[in-house]
Amino acid sequence: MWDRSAHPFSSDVYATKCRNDELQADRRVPGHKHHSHYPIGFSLISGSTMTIYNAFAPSSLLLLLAAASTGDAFIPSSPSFSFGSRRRILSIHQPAPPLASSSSASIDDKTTSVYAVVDERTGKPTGTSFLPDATIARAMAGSPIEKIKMAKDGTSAFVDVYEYARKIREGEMTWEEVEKADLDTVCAEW
Amino acid sequence: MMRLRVPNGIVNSDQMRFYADCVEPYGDGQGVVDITTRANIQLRGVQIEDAPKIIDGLHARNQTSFQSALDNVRNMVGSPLAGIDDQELVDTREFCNALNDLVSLDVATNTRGNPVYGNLPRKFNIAISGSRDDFAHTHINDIGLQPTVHARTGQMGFNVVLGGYMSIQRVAESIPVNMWIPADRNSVVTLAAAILRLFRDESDRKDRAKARLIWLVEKYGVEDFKKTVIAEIDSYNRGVTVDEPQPDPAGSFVRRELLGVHKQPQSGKSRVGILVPVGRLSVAECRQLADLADKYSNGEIRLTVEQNVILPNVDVDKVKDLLSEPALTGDSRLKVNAGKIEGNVVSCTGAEFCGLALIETKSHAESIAQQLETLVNVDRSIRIHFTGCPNSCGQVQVADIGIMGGPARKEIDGKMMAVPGCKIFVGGRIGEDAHLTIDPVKDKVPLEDLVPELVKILKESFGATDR
Repeated sequence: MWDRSAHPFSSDVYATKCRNDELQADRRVPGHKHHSHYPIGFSLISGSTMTIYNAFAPSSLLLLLAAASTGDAFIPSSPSFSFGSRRRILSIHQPAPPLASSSSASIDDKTTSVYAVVDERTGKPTGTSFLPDATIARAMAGSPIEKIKMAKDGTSAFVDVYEYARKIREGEMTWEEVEKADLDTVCAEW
Repeated sequence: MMRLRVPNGIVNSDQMRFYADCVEPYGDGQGVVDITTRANIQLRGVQIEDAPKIIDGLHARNQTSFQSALDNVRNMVGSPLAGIDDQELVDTREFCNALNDLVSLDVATNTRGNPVYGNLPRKFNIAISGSRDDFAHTHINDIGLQPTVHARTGQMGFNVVLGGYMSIQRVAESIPVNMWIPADRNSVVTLAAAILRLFRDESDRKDRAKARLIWLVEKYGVEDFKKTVIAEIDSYNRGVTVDEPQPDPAGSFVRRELLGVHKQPQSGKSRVGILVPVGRLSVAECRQLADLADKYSNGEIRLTVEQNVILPNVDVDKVKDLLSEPALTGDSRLKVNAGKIEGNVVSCTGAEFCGLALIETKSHAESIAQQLETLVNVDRSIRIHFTGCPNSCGQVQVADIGIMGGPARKEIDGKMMAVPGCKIFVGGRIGEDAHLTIDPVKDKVPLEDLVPELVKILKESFGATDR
């Protein structure tokens, strides 16, 4: 169960929420390439390879099919816009919870598996990493904007902005290309 | 556009000059600085390639633009008279800053950008009132804290109201949730954290029109939501207790003016409220304000939700000099002794810079206000708000007269043509007797025919007389 006594004030907020000791040790190592993990889902590498880390429950198959059908939910890096690793690698550490109904999850569906994941570009956990499983499931089945937020976390938007700025100054891209790539995905608005 | 975070709407002269420096390269048309209806700053004309330099400059000045838009907790609104108010119940500055840190400061790295609240289902607004005036407009915020003394202990605290917001689909006034918390930092921050956690994890993620806090409160029911919030607070073990709601302050109260010269409780000091028409500041005006602040208010500038500014702590014997400054006299747009109509006009960004707006607002608002000042006399301040679309960033529903962009047709050369138009709302109220007007009294009014309509409304509803 999520240790609420350590949230949201404690500086140990990430440590107490980190389920994987190895991840906890690794995330502070400078230069360590650490991929974001989500508590449910599956793995996409460059949009072409699927790797399922653990056995998955039937409900996870639904997630798999749902995400595959949306296509846009997990946008692989375009070769033109690869600023470091923007790959989303998701691994199943436990069977995913049942997908929530269209109404908001009840209080009983609250988190049991939130843990810290660190975006290697920002060095910080993502906003999504603080969401409980039930909320993530609802977001993944949610509005287009929720799917966009799941695909690209707003917490990394400013890393992108610095990169975009550099590329525009150096003539490698135009602001119109930025708009197509990112601004319309609302993340830069974060 | 780059929106900042300006807790309690307090900036300093160095920051104001920096804003001017940021937008100056973009020219007079694009490079402007806007004061918003959340007492915030928006820098306009910013180009992406300049964003890092601006962000770095903001952080060097203890400001940020992170988490200022989209599905984030927006700018913390407090009392513009915090600490300089002879009728103050609570100094809101500490709370606004503490809440700003809660939502935007990453405690693990001590940098701006807090992932704990980095994926909310929708925007979230918090307002803290410091006095009976409710300058912060708690009734239209997701969390509103209204100061009142505990009837038994005499301790100052806040009654909590939740769920106020405006959108295309729904306009909702905050509702009391039968909670009172002490006016201390720990209680305020803990309450906000508890509500934000519930909002973040449980609000709708499918239908954005139903994702604001009020929908979650209604789903629970007020009493069950209250119990849930209290259980959440208790789970944090921060020693925070929530009490039953306390009686509102009694006795008559007249809401005060922010513009003009007013004595402060500090001996020998006055606050001077300056009109910034529709909140729009040019590069030159930003620098003028910075210079005035350095000369008269120790560098401090307060922003208001009416999109104006206040210079606090002006020496009484220097007020006359301040009022004679060229920046506030002659042809200057900035004024201290503004008229009762032009001094109370609020406007959203409008079609000039916002893709959602149906009409251009700021230039119309400023021009119409000036026309009305020449046409009628009124014996009290009349708040006229302009907004470009039903999202109502201009908050027309709280205004005495609200103008919302909308369709209209007019006969031109014998043909009915679509022209810029509006709906007119009348009768919104703010302060202790707050009330939102939901339905317009008239719609499909062409903008070019608006002035006579407003003169008529001013006479019929607000006792205006011909000038």
